[in-house]
Amino acid sequence: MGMRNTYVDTSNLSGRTVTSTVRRLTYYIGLHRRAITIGFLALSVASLLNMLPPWALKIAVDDFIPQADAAGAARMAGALMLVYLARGALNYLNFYLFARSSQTIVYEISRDMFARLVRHSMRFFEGQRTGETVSHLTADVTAVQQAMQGQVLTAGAGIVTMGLYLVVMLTLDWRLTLVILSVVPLMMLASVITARMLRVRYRRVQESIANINTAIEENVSGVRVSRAFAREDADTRRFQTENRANLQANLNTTMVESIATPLIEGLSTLSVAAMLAYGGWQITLGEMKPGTLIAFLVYLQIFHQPLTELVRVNYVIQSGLAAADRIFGFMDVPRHIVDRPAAVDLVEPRGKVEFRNVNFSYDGVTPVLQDVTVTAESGQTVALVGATGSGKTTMVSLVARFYDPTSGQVLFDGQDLRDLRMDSLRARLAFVPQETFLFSGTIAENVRYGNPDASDEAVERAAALARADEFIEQLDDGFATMVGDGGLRLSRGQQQRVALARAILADPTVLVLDEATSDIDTESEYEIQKALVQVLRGRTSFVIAHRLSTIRNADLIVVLDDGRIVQQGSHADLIARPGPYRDLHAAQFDDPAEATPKPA
Amino acid sequence: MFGGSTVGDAGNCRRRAWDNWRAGGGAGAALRPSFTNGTPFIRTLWRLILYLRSQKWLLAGLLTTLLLGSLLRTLPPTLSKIAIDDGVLANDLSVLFIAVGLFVAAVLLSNVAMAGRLYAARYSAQKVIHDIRNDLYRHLSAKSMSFFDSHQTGDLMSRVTNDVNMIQFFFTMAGTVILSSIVLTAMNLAFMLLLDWVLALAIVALVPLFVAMQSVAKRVVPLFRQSNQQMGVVNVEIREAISGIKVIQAFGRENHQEERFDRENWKLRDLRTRVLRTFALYTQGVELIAGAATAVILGLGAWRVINGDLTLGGLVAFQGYLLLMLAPTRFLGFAVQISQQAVTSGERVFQIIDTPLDVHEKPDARPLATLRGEVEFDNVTFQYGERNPILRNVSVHVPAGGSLAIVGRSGSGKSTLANLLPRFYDPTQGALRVDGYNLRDVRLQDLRSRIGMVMQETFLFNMTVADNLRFGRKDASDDELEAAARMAAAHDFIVELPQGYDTLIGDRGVRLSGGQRQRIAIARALLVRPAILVLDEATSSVDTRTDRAIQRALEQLMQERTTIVIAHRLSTIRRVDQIIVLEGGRVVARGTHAELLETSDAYRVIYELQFRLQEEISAEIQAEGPARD
Repeated sequence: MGMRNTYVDTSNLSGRTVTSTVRRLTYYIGLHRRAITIGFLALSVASLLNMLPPWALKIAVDDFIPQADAAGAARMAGALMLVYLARGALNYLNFYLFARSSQTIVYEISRDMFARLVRHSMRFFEGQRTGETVSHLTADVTAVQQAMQGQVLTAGAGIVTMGLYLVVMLTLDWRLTLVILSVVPLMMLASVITARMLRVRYRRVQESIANINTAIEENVSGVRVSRAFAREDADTRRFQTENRANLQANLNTTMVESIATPLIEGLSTLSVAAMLAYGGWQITLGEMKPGTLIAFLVYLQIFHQPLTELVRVNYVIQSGLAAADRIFGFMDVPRHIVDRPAAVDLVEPRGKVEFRNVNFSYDGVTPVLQDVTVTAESGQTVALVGATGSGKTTMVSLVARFYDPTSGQVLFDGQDLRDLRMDSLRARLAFVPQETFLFSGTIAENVRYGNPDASDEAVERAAALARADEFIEQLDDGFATMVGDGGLRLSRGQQQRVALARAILADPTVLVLDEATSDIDTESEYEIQKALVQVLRGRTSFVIAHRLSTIRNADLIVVLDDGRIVQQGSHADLIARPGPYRDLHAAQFDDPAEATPKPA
Repeated sequence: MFGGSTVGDAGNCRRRAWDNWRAGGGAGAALRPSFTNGTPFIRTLWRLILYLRSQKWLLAGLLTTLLLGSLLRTLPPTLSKIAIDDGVLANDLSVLFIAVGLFVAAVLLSNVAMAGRLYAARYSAQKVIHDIRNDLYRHLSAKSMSFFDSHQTGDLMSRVTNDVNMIQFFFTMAGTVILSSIVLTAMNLAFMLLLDWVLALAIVALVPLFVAMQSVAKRVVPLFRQSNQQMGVVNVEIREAISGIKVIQAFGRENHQEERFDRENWKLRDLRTRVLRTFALYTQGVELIAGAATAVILGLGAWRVINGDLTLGGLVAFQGYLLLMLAPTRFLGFAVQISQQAVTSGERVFQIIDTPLDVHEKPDARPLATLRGEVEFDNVTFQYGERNPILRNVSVHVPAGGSLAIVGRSGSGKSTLANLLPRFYDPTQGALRVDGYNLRDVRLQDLRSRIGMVMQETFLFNMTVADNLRFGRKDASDDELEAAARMAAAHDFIVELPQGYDTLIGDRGVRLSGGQRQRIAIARALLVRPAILVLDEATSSVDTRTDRAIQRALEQLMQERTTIVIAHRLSTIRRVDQIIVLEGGRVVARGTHAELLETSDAYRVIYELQFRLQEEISAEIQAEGPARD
């Protein structure tokens, strides 16, 4: 399938590449062929059994009743009960097998999708359009889930069942069969038209529901802003508009639904009337026995059932297929960064990191790093300084191999990162990114993320170093407090401290701090800085910070401007001579002349 | 069977609603009972039903069409009896054709009634949901901040979405099923008794079996709930893998993440399979009972016909009535379950609506046409519930156009003090006045629209930059927008975004850095031209150059209006007219920077901790020399 643009076009529900998606699904279905085959067999036998009760009715009416054979009728009723039992058991079996297989298929597809997801490079996630795709993944998985609620298989089986019924009915009486079939095209037409009308309307309902939920969610999570700007009335009006739109969309759907059901049912009843009239006439002519007509009246019901069922699940199946198509499209996007076959494990890392003439661009056009050459000796602290957008974060991202340089090399202990196995490299690395992220789980689990086997004492020590212990101890459940989605919402400063503790506990050879303390108040930051001196000792570290106090103690300060290194050296070197570093430094305060004297 | 099909009304629509419900997340997610419980079941149910009050005519129409339609539905079996007994068997073609003609007419009419009934039922259901949502939202918007502090966002969202869904499902599906089950059972049973009471009683004897099946139905609904919750868990895993991708990869924990996902994913697969299996057990059980009824009709009915107690057409009609009766009853078990869940959901929704407002506007609140900006905290004490007071007897006066800096260690009550001004909370004791009016006496909307708030934790909406900026003043012109952005030192980076001011930011758009977010927040506050600016300074997320630009802008702003700053920067505290030092919620010192350095030990401690470093560096630069540590 390659890198088609289907996965980008998320609005398309019609599924342009249905055949390839079906082929792909067939692969997963193939994994469960035994269960599915047995299910089909059970279903076929059950369908045949389903043909018996009307026949029994016919025999009772045509033979037992005219012959006054009550015992025969009773025996027949008993036999019928056995048929019903067998049918129930077989239906249960096939339903269960179909359900289990299709749920396992969904499980397998999600599993494969997820394995791909966590291994895509950062470059993949940065693209805005893929961002859109990725944000739809959960919805897509749900859609496939629904479609596979056993319905795809059941609907497929429905077609087989209809074929069986048709054969039996034709053998019984071909004229009555034709009467039934004459209405089928009309029913199909009505079903297809209403299904199409409903599809558009359902989508509108979904959209309006999404709008409503967004409106509420923003009001709840942005409540302070909304109140501070006195937006209650405006927001309420906006919500009422959305709510009204949802009502309207629902009513539009209801209108079609309310007419569709009686219409299709009415058509099916027309064939009942047609049969009654034609069959009754034939009976009076002596051409047909009453039992046949009565049996057919029942057949009609079970014959129409798969048909209506098929139309009913059509919409779900279609959106399921479209969603599966997007998921497969996503799975087929090639990975940018993979281990080379000859990649080796990183052994006995010392932590020397070099940038050698590194150039980098995200889009292949705009250079973000140009000819960057820096050496961080083992154990050194390197501070990156520069304005927003000067390339600091990009530089540290290359250390973690989130991206590969466009040209030039990044080396670890003298080996090109591309020659190292990624997991062995990253196992020696800890990263505190600008945007702190905590997983849903307990605080302890989050701190242990990079070092799952750490003892409780080690966790507490790391938290203490990150000045996170104080607020954690005040929580009701302490380290066992649930955070993240559905858990307690920590402030950004608190999140940063937990992230810092996580990095400290990982005991990395190379530590990257990308504005790791930017949201922490000055007082705590000061303490953290002191603690960090101890943490940074013996490790190579890259630090991005705006605060000069952090920068001053670095072994090496690298000043970036627009992706180029404009200065590097120690604080003492750099401050001593005029240049961008001193300018930046001076800018920290508006006007040094106004500085008040130090207190006594 | 002759009364139309079994798959139409009862099957088709209802099953679709059923699927929609399953899709929509069904019942509420994790229940976290943070509200007081204990409203009686019946009262909540009645309160839900009362929402139908506004649609009396629709309801009357619904009942009429339901009764009329059901009555018409009972005609076809009788007509087919006549067609068979008096037409076919009596060899009278005219009776046959008349009966069939009436049959068609009855079916068509009943279908028209059905369309009307469906529409009325759903219309009123949708209207009810619309009204409940509006009520809910109205109450949510009126709640004070302490309400949101004490309830988790996830819990509130689950009430507003999942619980409302559940209620919707009750009104659109369960209610109708229950209602039509009652009507159809009563009518059809009556006809069956009239036709042949012996046979009818034999069928009634099967009812206990049907009741026994309800224990299976009972198991299905909680399982649905569980599997929907699990679906939510799986979705969270996917979302987290996306937002946390950097952390996952940086720590090399892809395999761990995969195992985590696998566990939840497998659990979901398991739950779903169990749900479907239980569902199958129920449906097959009900089918079996229906089969038993058919067998009884065949065996016993044939005997009744042979004995002359029942005609052949009567037997056929009997079977027709049975099917008609079974159609809605098949789903009755679920419908009852869902109704119970819906009442629970209703209770959760009403809990939000019923939580009393602690900050509310007086009916005769005074409008504030203009505001000069004089602020007075008069002996203000604030506490949450019974906990220790966060603010104790705070008194400060800021003249119009004046400036006040609040300093103190974290947890000293700085932010709480600032949050009282826009009435996020009301003080427990004491009073807050602007221009001499107590905040409790003025119109909330007027007050808030004249206060500009910049909070430390910047919240931006998933909208374009321009929409975010216009949040407080929709009608601001493009020029004003740009002017505000320039003043907040945000214009330069905004124009460099892919679509400039029209760039979408947030989850689905461009991610901004902390500093950029804050500048947008400042511009947003400036755009409303506030008489009072409340600023919770960022700790340090802006680079030095930008910081200086913002400081310059703020300096100018301070001159034009009353400003209250929670200060983290030395440059700020040096500029304000007065500083108060908070410690444990009390004002322990007040004065200017120079005065406080002389007089207050508490201030000196904070100064040492928070500002001295800045001062030192500043001095260093002044000396134009390198650090001499």
